[in-house]
This record gives sequence, structure tokens and C-alpha cells, in this order.
Amino acid sequence: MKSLHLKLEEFGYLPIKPNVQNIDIRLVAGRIVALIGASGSGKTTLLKLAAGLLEVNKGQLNNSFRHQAYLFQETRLLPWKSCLDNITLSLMPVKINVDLALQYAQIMGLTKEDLAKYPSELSGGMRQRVALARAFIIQPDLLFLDEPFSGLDFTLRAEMQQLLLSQMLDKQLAILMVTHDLNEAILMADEILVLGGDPAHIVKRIMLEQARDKRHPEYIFYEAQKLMKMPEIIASFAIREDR
Amino acid sequence: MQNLNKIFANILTYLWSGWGGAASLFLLLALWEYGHLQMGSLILPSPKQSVTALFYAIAHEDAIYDIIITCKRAFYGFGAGVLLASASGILAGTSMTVSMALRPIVTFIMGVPPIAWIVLALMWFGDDDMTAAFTVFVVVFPIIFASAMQGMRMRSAELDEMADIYQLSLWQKFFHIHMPQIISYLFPAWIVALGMSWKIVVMAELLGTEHGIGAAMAMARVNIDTAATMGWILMIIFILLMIEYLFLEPIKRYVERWKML
Repeated sequence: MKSLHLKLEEFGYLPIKPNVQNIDIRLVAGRIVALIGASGSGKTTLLKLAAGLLEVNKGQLNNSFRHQAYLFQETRLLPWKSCLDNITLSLMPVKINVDLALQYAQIMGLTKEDLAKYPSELSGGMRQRVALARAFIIQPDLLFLDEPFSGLDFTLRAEMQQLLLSQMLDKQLAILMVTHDLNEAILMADEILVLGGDPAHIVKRIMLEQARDKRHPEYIFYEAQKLMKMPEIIASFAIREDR
Repeated sequence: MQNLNKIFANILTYLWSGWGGAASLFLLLALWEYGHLQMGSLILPSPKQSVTALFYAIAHEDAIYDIIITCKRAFYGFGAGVLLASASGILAGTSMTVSMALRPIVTFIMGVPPIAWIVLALMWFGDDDMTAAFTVFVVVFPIIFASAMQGMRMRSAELDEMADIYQLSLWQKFFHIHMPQIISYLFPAWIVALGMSWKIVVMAELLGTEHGIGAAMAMARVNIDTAATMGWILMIIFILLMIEYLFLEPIKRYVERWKML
């Protein structure tokens, strides 16, 4: 079975002081692991380490997934390319396939007119759909999410989450996601890792057993209340208030 | 078909926008004519006299040959500068260390006045095409180099990460991700360098060669032929404007069309 295992003794951007420490993250096909923590707690750093964007020096990264995609906080579209060309960009190392791009654009709710435009001509939500199409067109088996929907309004965000989950069920996709939104984590994840401390480490692991399609708003609300009473979570989100 | 219409409309709009520029140029011509009326033909010949002198030179004195030879020298120097400086600047910009190390050298070379290079080039190459072309090259090189280096250094790290995630090859990354960013730095430098190369090539010719626009101007000076001098100046400006607005500017608009929205 395809899996990702990040075992990290420590990592720091500067040699003086590590930013994260003693990390152990495992992810297998078809599962979602969410990293939560306050902003600046090292969530994005961990995600980049797991994706191979940052080099793991002290520790190990074993990744047997074949195709990975990454949705960043920003869309990271190329402003000088049309949306269609932005979508096919991820296919460039293999072979550009416009028909496939049209197909995925349709799934994401983009029209043909949208595809001819530059990203700057589209709204934030539409741009995120383009980024989503660019990620899914390579048919990833592993997806990294760095709060890609945090800038979107509530309804759009829910729609994007559903879009993602439907894609995931079809394809046995594994997701490692970062969020500071407990509700999002409870809606989507099988396992929640709470990041806290300085240097940051995993202070709590929470398994969510409830089937994903049975996670009604009441369930999410109830779980979120429960989580917010945990001392580790209180500490994790409060630790950097002094800044 | 729709695209073709769009392109055609764009070209027309572009040409039409030239009227604004033309209006200010005609104003300048009027002022020139007024100056001529005040000071007389010897100090300031009228625009008409200047153009007539230029046409006369073209018709009777092989002036076309001078123009071509000057164009050739400027083109060699400028072309070599653009190619080598852009390429090496981009390469240097990939490394922080190299850029830091080269910075003072670039400043040093830029500090040498063009006229000093002309003197050196005259001694190295003598009365040859190489003198003018070399001077142009050595003056435009650091300007373009510095811009290319800066453009490469300032590229977005975020887009690089994105490209790495999707495993774009080095060449794909350069062509689709880096180049459009660098162009914004390179183009202004190319245009500045183009303007300089014309001035420098004429200066080098004036001092050291027997042919070319500069040499023709030196001859006009000897003959105290102000009209011919003014005519040559007009010619230089005309060629420069043609290259910039019919060649460089359209290319710039094409590659940066996404910015026009």
C-alpha cells in the first residue's frame, strides 16, 4: 500500500534554533491527516518537508506515492498565461492534453470562456478552481493542502470542500492538510495532529472514527466543542498570543 | 477570424496612438523654425533646409552607404551586448554569491566613460568596424547584465515551488516561469541600451573612422555645413524611433499583454 512517512528529529530555517522537533507523521492511501495549530506554529514548514520542498536533514522521508499535488494558500497561477494554459502547466512534464483540461475544468465548474481569460480577470473563487483543476489533472494519489480555501467565503468554501471530498472518494486519494479551522479539520480528517510548543512538536493526536458522510453539522459542532476544551489545544492556540 | 480582427484592431489602435506623439513633434518643429527665423541659416538652419541637405547627401554622396555601415556597427555591438549580457546576467542571477561578487565589477565597468573606451578601442582595433562595435558592446553590456541579474534574482520563490511540485524540467521552468518575470526587467534595459548604442556608435565614428554617419558629421563640421549636421541628427533620431516603436515596443506589448488588463 502506498504510504508517506515523515520522521523528523528536528528542522530549522537557521542553524541556531530548530523550528520543529520530534515529528512523526504517517499517511496511507485514502486517508486524510490534518495538522492544526496557531499561525506561525510550523504547519506549513511540515507540509513543505513532507512534500519535499524543503530538505529533511535530520530525519527521514519515505514517500511511495507516485503523483503528488499541492494546493498553496495562494493560487500561484501564472498571471501571464491563460487559465487553460495554467491548468495544462502541470501536465507539461508528461504531455499537454487540452481535452483532459477541458474535462477537469468542467468538473471544477469553469466555463470555456473562463479558460480563455487570464487569472487576473477571474474572481478569487474561480482562480482557486483553476488551481484545483491544475492539481487534479495529473491525477494525484497524494495531495497537500495548505489552507487553500481560507480566503474564500463560507458557501464557496463548503463547495470546494465537497468538490475535494468527492474527488478523493473516487480516487483513493491521500491528503495531508494544514488548517487553523477546527471545523474544517473535523469535517475532512481521519486523524488530527495538534502542533504546539516552541520548537513545535505534535502535542496531541486525535482519531475521528465517524464515517465522513455522516459528519453532520451537529457532529462537527459537538466535536469542535470537545476539542476546544482539551488543554493541549488551548495551550497550542494560546502560546503565541504575546506576539 | 475573431482573433484576426482583434489583432488588426490592436495594430490600428497602436498606430492611431502615434498621433499624440506626432503632435508634440510638430510643436518642436515649429519652435525650431522660429529659432531659425531668429538666428539665421548658419547658426540654425530651418527644418526644411536640414532635410533637403540630408536628401542631397543621400542622392549624391553615398550617404546610404554611411547609414548602412553605421547601422551595421551599432547592430553588431548592440546585438552582441543583448545576447551575451542577457544570458550571462541571467546565469549570474541564479546564484546569490556570484551576483554579490559581480556587483562591484559591473559598477566599475559602468563608471568608465564611453569616450575612454573609444580611445582604447582605437588603439586596439584601429580604424575598423570593430572600434565602434566594441565600444557599443562594452558600454551596453553592464547595463543589460545588471538588469538581467536583478530580474533573475527577484523572481518569485512561490512560483518556483509550484513548478517544483509539478516537476517541470529546468528548461520548462526557465521558459514558462522565469522568462516572463525577467522580461519586465530586461526590456527597459534593452531600450536604454539601444538609445546609447546609437549615440556611441556616432561618437566613435566621429573620432576615428572614415565612413559612417559620425564620419559624415565630422566632414560637415569641417565644411561648417550646419544644415547637413542637422540633417544627420534627424536621420539618427528617425532610425532610433523606427527601431523602438516599430520593433521593440510591439514585441514588448506582445509579451506583456497580460499586464494590460
